[in-house]
Amino acid sequence: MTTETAARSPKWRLWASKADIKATPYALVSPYFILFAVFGVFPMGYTLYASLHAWKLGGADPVFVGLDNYKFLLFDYDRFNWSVFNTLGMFVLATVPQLVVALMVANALNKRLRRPMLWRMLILAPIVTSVVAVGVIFARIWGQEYGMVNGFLELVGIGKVDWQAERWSSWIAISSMVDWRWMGYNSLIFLAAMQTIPRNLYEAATVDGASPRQQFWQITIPQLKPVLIFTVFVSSVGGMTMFVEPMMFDSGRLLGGTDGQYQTTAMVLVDILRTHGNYGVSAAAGWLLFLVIGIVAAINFLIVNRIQGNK
Amino acid sequence: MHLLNRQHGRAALAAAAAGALALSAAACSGGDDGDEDGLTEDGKIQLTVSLFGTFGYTEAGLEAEYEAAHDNIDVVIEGDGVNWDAEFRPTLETALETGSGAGDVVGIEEQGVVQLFSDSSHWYDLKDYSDRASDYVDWKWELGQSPDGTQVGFGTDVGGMGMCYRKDLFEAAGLPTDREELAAAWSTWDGFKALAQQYVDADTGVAFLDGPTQLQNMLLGQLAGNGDGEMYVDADGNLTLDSAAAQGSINTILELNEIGAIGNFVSWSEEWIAAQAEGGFAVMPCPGWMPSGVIEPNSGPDNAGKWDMAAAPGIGGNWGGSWLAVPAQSAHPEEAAELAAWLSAPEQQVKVFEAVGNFPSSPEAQADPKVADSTNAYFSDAPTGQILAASVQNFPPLTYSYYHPPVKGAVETVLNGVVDGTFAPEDAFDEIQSAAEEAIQLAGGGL
Repeated sequence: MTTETAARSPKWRLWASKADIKATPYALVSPYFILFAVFGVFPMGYTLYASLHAWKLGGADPVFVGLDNYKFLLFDYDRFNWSVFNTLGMFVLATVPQLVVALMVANALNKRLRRPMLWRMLILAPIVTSVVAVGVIFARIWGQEYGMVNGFLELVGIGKVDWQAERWSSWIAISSMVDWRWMGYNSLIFLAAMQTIPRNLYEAATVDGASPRQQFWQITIPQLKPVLIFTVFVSSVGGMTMFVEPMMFDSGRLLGGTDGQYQTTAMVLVDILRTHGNYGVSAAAGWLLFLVIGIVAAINFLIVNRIQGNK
Repeated sequence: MHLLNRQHGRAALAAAAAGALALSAAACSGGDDGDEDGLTEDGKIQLTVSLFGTFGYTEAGLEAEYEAAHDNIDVVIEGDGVNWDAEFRPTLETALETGSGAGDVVGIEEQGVVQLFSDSSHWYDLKDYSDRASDYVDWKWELGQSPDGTQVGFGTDVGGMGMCYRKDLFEAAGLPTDREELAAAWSTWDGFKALAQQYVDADTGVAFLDGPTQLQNMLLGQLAGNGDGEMYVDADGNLTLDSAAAQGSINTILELNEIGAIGNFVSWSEEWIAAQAEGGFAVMPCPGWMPSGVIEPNSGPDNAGKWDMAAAPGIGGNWGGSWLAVPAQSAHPEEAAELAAWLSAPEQQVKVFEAVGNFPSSPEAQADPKVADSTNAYFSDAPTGQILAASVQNFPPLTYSYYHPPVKGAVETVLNGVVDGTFAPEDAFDEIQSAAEEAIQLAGGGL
């Protein structure tokens, strides 16, 4: 008996230690994936199921209809296609200036400033502001009759603009809201990345006679590439699911103006669910939006990945 | 650039997570009624009263009053200010369908009565608690029933209507400012149009009406109530846009817009709220709860005494009004029914009227001197009780079909679009037709 136990014990221990090495990392990362399965994979699968059925809240039992819901959105429901156009338009209008300005701000903050902490805190302030408050304030800033912007335009003799009535004007107003909210967040990420760039690169460049501008383009930008990809990616996803800003711009309505001038795809999705109680079509809109996000993210990745530096 | 791959993998994961987030928005539901036995920690029965908009129960102190009279009950009132159509109705429908998450007493708006009361299995029959038919006018009592005769709801308020106007702006345009004189001058809609024309001709630079929505609702209810009752859509989801009420109301809006009498203030928008403080428009159709509940806080003390209220054009009218119902899923339906009966009893309707101005649906409460002789100090001491009571007297009930809310939304959006110049007035009916068809298609069972 004793010899047998003695012989088995190390074997068992060996196995346990092997299992420990192999399994523990998985066990440690599993909480995220379990949560992701419950709140991510399951809803996606369920939504896919719903999108293939005629499914009305409070109505009859779901009936399988194949791709009819998708067909309706793509070919019959004009608001959906316009909403994709609106979303892409506002995304470009909001994201490009936002990232460029964020980069410039981060570069400025990276220089020697008095009270650097104060400036960094101020840049971050919009993120901790309630989005509802932001919506109310911006709706007033861009108001037609009593808005600040129109008041200024009248002063310089241009006259009032009904910002909500036209596609281009409402996009500008909403983009300003998005930029104001997220510029600081992105510049903080850029700033953090800039501070990890080795100083000796800049020192060497200075010795070689490179101007600050050359240093920015030849050292800072290439070094920031991974972070740029990250921010472009996050901004793409955020931009494509844009919802709160345009909704607040229309006082909480989901139709995005009188003719859907600034109705985003996320708003169409919620409108179909809430106003019309239609699970099936709403779920189909969710999947189409998911595909659009995937395509946009892939395109952005390819573009940003082309940033080259001389390394 | 070895970071790239790791970044890529993480990014892909982030994309999947974000996509899932967008999708799960489609599957979200409300309700947080976690306590299964419906008891508080100290053993009291907890009754959740789930409401929207302004019912005035908190303002009138009814929660404390009821708890003081019932030691074993803890009343929780939630949902003040919640939007009926955008938030409350979808959440309630989900809660009823899944069998949990609805309150013990829930508020139901007139436009949702047909839709929500159609399935009586969701509801506790209030007749089991008490038959209060005598407290109400017949139609308010009968609208609270399901098709099989279950008494689902006790009525609370009705939407008596008047015209709220700015005396200073009327005077600037040379219009009469006395409420009796005005009521006589616009006793018909032609009279109203004539006054609108006179106001526009004076060219004061300030809009006459706020926007199309309020007037559209007043006109539609009035024309349907005094006519065949048909509005935008019938109970089977067939559009009835050629009904007398739909045609008459939309055409009146278009005519008034043509002469420039309708302002570009979308109801409930920031601009609309600002316009009430700035004197941006001169007149607005207003349901009974609007003068004290909306206009006074929006206009502020500086404008006290500038507003007044007169009887509305046309004959009678009703817009809105609510019921209290007890979902069958409540853990304590009898106690909940008792609470609902008490909250909607004539005495409490009077208290609510005094607190927030919701006009009572009970004739007994309407006759109470505190209601009948009430005046509104902010509105130049206008006899609001008398004006509102006259507007709902003998007014027939309106039955809103299941499809009414989405079609109503479509019509209002197009009319706002005509006013802000997005749609040409001559295209209005075509736009309304196609928007309404889409709304029916989405709300119907076909998709």
